Amino acid sequence: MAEYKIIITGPMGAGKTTAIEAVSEVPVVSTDVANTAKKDHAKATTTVAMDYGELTLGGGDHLRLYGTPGQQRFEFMWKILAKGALGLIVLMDNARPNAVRDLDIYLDNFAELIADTGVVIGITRMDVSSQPSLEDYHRSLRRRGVVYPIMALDVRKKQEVVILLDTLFSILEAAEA
Amino acid sequence: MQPNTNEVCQKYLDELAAATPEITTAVVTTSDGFEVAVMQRGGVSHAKLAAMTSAMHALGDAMVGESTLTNCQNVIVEAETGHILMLAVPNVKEGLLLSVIADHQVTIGRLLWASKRCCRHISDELGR
Repeated sequence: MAEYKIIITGPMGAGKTTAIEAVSEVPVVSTDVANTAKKDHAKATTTVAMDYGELTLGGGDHLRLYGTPGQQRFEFMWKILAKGALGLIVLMDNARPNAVRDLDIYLDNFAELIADTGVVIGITRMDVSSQPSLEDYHRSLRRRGVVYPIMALDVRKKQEVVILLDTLFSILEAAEA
Repeated sequence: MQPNTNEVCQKYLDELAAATPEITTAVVTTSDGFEVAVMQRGGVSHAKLAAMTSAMHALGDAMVGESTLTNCQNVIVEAETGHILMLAVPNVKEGLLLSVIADHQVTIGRLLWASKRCCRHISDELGR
């Protein structure tokens, strides 16, 4: 069966590491260090290079999942990790002050990968903040002239992360057909 | 972070640079990639160097863990025209890293010795 490299990106605290930990069949390779930028996010640690996990889908396809650092100062890692990738998941933290605007940062920086492959957007922490709504994100995409799947999820739940990955695969298969 | 952390790091960075003129840039950074002290003779972006040092050292640490080794101390990059060393400053609660770029006129061994000495001095003043 085929091997796929999938990138999971999004801002600090959106749940990239947690999502990979939720689904990986192997111990996750993590590069978390102490977070000294508590004004940006209160969490204790932050990913500075990448996370790595693996998952086999129902059809036997094998996914290699790479999580990026969230902060823009690590954008050099975004470019390194995007090489050879076959799809992108963007996780957005709905509790951040400018969550919808944040999305543009990742869509802009991964524009080439998105154009060549596909993207699915997952909105996290809607239980903490119900606003902005999914429609707000859709509206922002319409302003960019694009339509991408957007879904709310709890990244701690394996099944919800798998649905996100399955959705990405459906898009990639549809693009190939 | 201790109020004198920046001053202590700057003092020993300047000492390191004075003793090793082949060094073009040296940065002390937090483990998550924010500069604490900078010594710069070249045109390298020290903000980018700090972030890259954080990522490289964390990758080194992850590789050490996967290899069932312990405690990544240094990551060394040998280029055609020089060297880049990234060292953990030991026993400092904040988790500091030292990144040094030098031209090829200094050997890696000498650069590593001088950089470790700098780390030890910082550690002696700021260590837990």
